[in-house]
Amino acid sequence: MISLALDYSVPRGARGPFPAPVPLPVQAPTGRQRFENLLDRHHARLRRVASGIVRRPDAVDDVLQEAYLKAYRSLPARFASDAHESAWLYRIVYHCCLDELKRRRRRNEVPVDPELAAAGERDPLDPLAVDAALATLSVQDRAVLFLVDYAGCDYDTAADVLSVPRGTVASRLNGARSRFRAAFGEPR
Amino acid sequence: MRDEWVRATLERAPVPDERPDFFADLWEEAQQRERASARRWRRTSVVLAFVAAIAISAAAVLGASAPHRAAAGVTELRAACTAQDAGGLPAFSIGAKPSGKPDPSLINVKPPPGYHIDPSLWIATGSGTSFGGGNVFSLNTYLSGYQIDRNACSTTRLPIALTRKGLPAAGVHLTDPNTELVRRCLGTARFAFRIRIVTGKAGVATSAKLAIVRARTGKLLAYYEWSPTRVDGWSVAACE
Repeated sequence: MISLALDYSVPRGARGPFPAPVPLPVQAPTGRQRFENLLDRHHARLRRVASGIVRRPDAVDDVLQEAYLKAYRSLPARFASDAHESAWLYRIVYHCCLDELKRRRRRNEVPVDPELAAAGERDPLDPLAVDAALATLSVQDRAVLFLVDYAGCDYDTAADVLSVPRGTVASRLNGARSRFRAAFGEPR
Repeated sequence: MRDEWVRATLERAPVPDERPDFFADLWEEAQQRERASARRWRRTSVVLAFVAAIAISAAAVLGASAPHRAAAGVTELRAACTAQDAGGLPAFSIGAKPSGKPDPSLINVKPPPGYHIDPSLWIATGSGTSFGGGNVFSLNTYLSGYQIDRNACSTTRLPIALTRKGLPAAGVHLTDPNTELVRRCLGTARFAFRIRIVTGKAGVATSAKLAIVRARTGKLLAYYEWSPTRVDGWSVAACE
């Protein structure tokens, strides 16, 4: 006897008589969206770092804009790690800060307010005193302090950003911390 | 390792307020720069395309199919060529025809655009025919020199004897200008040939001897003797 079996089974993945739900295609973020996400993560810290290195309120916006434009233009397709992403972005901002300082030097601008830079005990809770203390440091000192102690970069990332060996970061950081503390009359 | 005292102090450093239109300005500037960059690229690409077109024309004139002008005398050439596929197999053809003695008044007269002179002796690869398609080598009785496709063929030092020794004794002999002798060899991806061309006063070929071998083994595949009034050809059975 021959039996005919008709297959009325529901296709795999389908529920009842309805077709299987088709997953919506996931759209890859555009370059601008990726960059905006990147800035969401780093902008606030970058602003403080740039401000601390350049130490001129009216120049911070311009420095950051120039750095972001450069970064946006050369945004890599992907980063190997978060540290790589940070190093890449901080390096661009750091170099734009250096460019701004060079421009200022060419224009013979006085980088430090002599009154604020005068030695003496300062209150570390007073923003103006902090600014005056930063004014007593060199650009390299300020950069390494902000990268490691404020932004939380490890030594390797900081070395990558500053384009110096890891040992130089360590020694520069040690000296910068001592001088910064000394500006507040703190023990080294 | 972070210094917490330094971190706390740095966080109190004054930061200027951000301009309200900071990001609007940023994206506007980015778009402007992108547009300027695109304009630059368009200009550069036009210039590059122009330069490339000139370079390709020059290469074509110098290499691929430019007639090699030859003075009166004997010209020898040895080249190894890659055969293109035809129907899934590498294939090449050797063709020759006794095209007749040329009209002296038409020798070295350049044909008008869109016209060409049929070759009298040629080698074509793939599904190429004597009428120009796929010719890697050709000569004719009206224009001086010969044409060789340097993209498919390169000069070789492979020893190739200009003799029919090793080929079947039976050959094909043609004298009728309306006939041509074409042998098609299949399955040989790379072949080499040696040709000796005797040229007349105007540099036009008056006779030629051509031997074709398999490049890998040196085995003789075909041997042709050509003149405007007679063609003699011998080939292995595999070339039909």
